[in-house]
Amino acid sequence: MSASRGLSLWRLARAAPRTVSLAKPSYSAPRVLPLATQTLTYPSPRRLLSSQTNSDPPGFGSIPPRQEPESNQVSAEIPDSDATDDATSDPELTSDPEMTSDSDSSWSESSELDEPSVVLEAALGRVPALGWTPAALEEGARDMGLTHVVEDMFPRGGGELVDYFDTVCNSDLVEFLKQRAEEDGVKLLEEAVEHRLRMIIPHVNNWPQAMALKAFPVNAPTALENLGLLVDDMWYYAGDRSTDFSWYTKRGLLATIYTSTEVFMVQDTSVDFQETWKFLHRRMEDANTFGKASKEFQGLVSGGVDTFSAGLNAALNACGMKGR
Amino acid sequence: MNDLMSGGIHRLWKREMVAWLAPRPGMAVLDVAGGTGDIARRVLAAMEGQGRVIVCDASEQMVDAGRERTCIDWLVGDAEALPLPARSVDACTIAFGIRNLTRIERALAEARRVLRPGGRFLCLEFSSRPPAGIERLYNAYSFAVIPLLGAAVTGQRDAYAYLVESIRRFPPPELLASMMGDAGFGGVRVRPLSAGIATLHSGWRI
Repeated sequence: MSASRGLSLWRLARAAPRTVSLAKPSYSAPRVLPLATQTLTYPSPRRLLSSQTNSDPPGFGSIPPRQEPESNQVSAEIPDSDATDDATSDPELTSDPEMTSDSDSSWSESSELDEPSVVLEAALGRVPALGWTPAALEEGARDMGLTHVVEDMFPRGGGELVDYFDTVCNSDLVEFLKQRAEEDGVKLLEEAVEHRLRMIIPHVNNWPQAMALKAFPVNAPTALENLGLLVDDMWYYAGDRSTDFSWYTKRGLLATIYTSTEVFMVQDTSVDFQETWKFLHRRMEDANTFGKASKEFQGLVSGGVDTFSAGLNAALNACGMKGR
Repeated sequence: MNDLMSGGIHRLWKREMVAWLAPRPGMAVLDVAGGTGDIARRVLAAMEGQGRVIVCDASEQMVDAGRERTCIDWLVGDAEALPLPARSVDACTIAFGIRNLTRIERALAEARRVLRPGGRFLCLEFSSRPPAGIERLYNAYSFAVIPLLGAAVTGQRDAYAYLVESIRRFPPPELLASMMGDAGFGGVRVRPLSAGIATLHSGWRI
């Protein structure tokens, strides 16, 4: 799998149209969150169990559509559809009083587990109380009427929950970006970062735990992949079609800005995180103003000599590591 | 006899199976074709006695022999038609029993029927493919030594010749995994044990 992923990255860097999908975990279809992000409320798991399909808006253009994960229909909660199971040819058994327990009736009405993301979605509702832990997965499973044993399906526990959350938020961000595709590139980047970080607000109290989980070696590869895809999406919809090394420097720079703002955000206590957005604005201005990479950042030139060290300088400045 | 044939490793395999299942107190676990009660005993110990363990075996003698073990429910029944209501157990295990069944798909469908949504199915079985590199030694051991051991210890050479042949006829691990997928299990994982002599399959009922 890593060889094909490396090949995909190489092809992506060389060819202009985005025809290659970097392998994404096959989680469920993205939800469309309301655009009024200031009043973002996290939908309850049961409300999400409605059929939603993942499809590009019509008339998107001649750019070949990116390979989205196969659209999984999350079907509505169905009361026991295995009615035939109960009318079994149970030769003996139900006559044996030991075997029937009063929990059987509740189980016969429980829903089916259509796909793993059903459990993850329900577990997200339990995260504020229980954190990004296997306990949240267990309680989420119980909420959906499933046996808690399904929590073993997620060996990385809280890390898988964080990964799912990131994937869903990234998909929602793509929907947001598609609707703003014509706007000024750099301004759109700042809005995109703000929009994406606002999705964390419902979980901001537990977010340091999620960040720590993402640093674990078992979770780090998928966390980095999600971050890479995120900044790639942002740059793509901001209009970047570069095919040279600046592809890497731009994305690396934006990733640095994103993560530094994220770190600032978890300790920000201002109203509506105003200080965070100001911090973000300052970092974006830094990237625009300082170093050779700034010209690439503004899209005025692409390529150029010595972009790597320039990009590195700008990244260090953005992190505030050069004594600013 | 199991100890003789496998050199005692079968205990490790069973221990590994229960460790992978990780039973927690309060679960209901069904062990199919588990006449000796090995798995049931280990599951009960892991659950610290709280929870329910049911053993279902087709052979009445095994069930009668095992009834002395308390805290375990014993049932006589066929793996292809389990005498349990639908959605009644959290986990279903089968150790070294599934290769003796004529219709494996039926057994998988039954396991799916009795499992609650999200419940887990674990299967421990010999691999039909000898581990790479030691095929000749493995084949020689299987076809020459095991029937002789059976003849010497229990006087039933044919039974042990059948054992070895049934292992060879059993579907390879990948095929069993795809059969599990077809039967309605998701997240199917395959773990070879002892360099591939035995295999653990795990799936969740979806």
